[in-house]
Amino acid sequence: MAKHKSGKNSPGNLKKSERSSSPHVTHGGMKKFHFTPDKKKALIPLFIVLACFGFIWLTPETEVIQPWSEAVLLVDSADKVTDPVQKELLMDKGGKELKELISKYPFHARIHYFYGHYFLKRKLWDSSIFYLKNAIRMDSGGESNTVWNFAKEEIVVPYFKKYEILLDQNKNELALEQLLEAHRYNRTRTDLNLLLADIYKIKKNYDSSLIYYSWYLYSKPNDINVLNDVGIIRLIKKDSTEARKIFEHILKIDPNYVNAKRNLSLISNKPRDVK
Amino acid sequence: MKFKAYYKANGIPFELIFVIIGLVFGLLIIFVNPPFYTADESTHFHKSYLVSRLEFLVRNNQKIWAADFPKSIVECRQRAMINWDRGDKYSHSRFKAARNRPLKPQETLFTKVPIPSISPIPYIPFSIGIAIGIFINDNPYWLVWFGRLAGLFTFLALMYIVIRSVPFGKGIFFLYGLTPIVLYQGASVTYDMLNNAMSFILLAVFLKYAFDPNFKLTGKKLALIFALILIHRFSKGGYPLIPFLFFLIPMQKIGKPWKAVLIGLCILLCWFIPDYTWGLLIGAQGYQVLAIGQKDVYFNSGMNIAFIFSHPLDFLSILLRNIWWQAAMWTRGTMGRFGHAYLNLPDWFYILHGLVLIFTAFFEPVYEYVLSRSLRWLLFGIGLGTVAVVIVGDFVTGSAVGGTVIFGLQGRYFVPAVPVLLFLLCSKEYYNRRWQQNRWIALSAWSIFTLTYLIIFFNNYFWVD
Repeated sequence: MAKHKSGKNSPGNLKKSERSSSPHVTHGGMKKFHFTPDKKKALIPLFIVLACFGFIWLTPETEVIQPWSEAVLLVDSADKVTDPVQKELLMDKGGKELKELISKYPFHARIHYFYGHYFLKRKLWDSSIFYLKNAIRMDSGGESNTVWNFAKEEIVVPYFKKYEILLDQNKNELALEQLLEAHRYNRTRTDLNLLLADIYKIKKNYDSSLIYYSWYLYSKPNDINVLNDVGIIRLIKKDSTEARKIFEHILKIDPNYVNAKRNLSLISNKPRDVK
Repeated sequence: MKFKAYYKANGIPFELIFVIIGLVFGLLIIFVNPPFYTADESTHFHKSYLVSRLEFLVRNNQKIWAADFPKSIVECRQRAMINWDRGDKYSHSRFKAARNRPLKPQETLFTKVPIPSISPIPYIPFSIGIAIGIFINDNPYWLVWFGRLAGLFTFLALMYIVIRSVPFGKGIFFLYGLTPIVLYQGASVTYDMLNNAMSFILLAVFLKYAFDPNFKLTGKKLALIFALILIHRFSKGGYPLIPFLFFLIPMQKIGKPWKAVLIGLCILLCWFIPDYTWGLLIGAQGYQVLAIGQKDVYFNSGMNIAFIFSHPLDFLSILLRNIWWQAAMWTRGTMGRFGHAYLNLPDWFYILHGLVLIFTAFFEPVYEYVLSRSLRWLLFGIGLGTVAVVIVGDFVTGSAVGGTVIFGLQGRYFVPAVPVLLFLLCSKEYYNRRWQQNRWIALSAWSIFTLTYLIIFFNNYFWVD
């Protein structure tokens, strides 16, 4: 509650004659400036405000970052360190902090993504896949500040690594499953699509191969080497009309592409398919 | 003759110049600011469109806050989403063609409007503009402009009342009302327009009552006060302390202490009225809670409140670190940080304009009024308290659980608190009659300069050819 001073200028006590009178004494038309104690006192709030205002613009901006971002920064900074002991220390510290955070806040998709990223750096593929999958699931449908898109990009790496390990162990079918699983999460990754298409081509499963080539060509429609491969599969599948179209398309992109010229001449020397 | 006498006694009427400058530059802002560019304007426009059709509650089988909107509106909104950060711009020629497409209300698209909790009250001015606009030109872009026009007229009318009624500090309201962000919000389809103007009105009216020697708190005046408080409350949440400016009115004018306590309790009660009227109505519809667009982190008010109480020192440290880091950004926001791309003006602009605001407040002629120490403390408490409520409120509702970043807080949220704090600087010690009579020239010139700069800045940033 405001209790006003009971001075003559307090609200409610003003008279018209008082309001119109100036508080300044004039001498011969010239105003005389007295730096009275009241005037000095009145400057205090002004100086405080000016100091605060100046402080806002003069202080360096020290960014505040989330604890999980701080932890992943440690993990990432380990990459930039050459000393292996220091590297290990940074990685350990970052991992420990992330582990603590994930047990404290298991509902943040972002921490799952960072933890998956940490395991990727640690080359612990299964753990990395586990947490990246969590991040994708929890953040699915997110529209802003998303992590699902980054997680989908990163999850391919541990699957690739597992594929290589299993291939070395001659577990070819299991290795292929890793790639197919990776493809479930990332259908636009070109190297993955190309690898799958090539594997199925070698396995003579041309229908599947064509599917992955088409995924690949969705991202790189003018890759003439891949287009040529697709044309060859079409030829193997005795679909020479489609194959001709593809080779002609390649020659439109690069008129000097020898393979397409040769394949086209092969088709021209053959009788056309009867459909 | 009458005007000359008025000028001699009071100086040029500030409110009149405010309306003239506000109208000229407000109109320019309406057309140079791309449609749907103002923060959340698209959502507020959709809601205003529904209110213009008198559809206060949407009804559909899926029980979500969505309705059938003309396809043309949805398409215009999508087309307006330009990637400004990449340097893309609007083309006048491209826009010309889009401006001629009709509304075609029969071709509709089921579209989400994710703000059921906001009552229709702040949308009434825009909905009137849209309803009139449909008869003149029903192109969706034009409907946005009609909405903005109605908002601007409402804002200017309310600011006219503010400047006219405030007994002193007219220069503060004049200059801050014409500050780029305030006029920009006033010339956009957003609930901030009504919220800002109503906050200013409450301050002006309470100051008028406080310093009017003939004021008596009658039933009629009390009804008017509560009507204003309710409009303010219904327009936007987040500013519970502003209505308590009522206590600027001295005790002897309120009457007995129990009366003051009762009024205080009623003001407090007003805070809950929207929850128990509009909120209950919305709750009864059983709408599904729509998932928010951001899902990488989890938001939970209850957990954040629990954190504040269980770790008060940690919370204080978070608060101080964020103020240190974000104070400049928030200060920019109180003067001009625009739209969903958070467009900033250059820093020299904020520093200069900030200094002009501070010195205008300091030299504001108040010699005939005494801002007693208790009044200053009240203004300080409510001004700073409002800033604190906004910051803490954002931490509670808009920041990730366990996070250290106060997330998504915009400086424009502090606009209602700025004049309250500026009034603290008013000092009678440096009164100068010549400044009182002629400050309108300096303040008008400065406002014209800043707003002209803003228009040129917008034109270069948003438009090409």
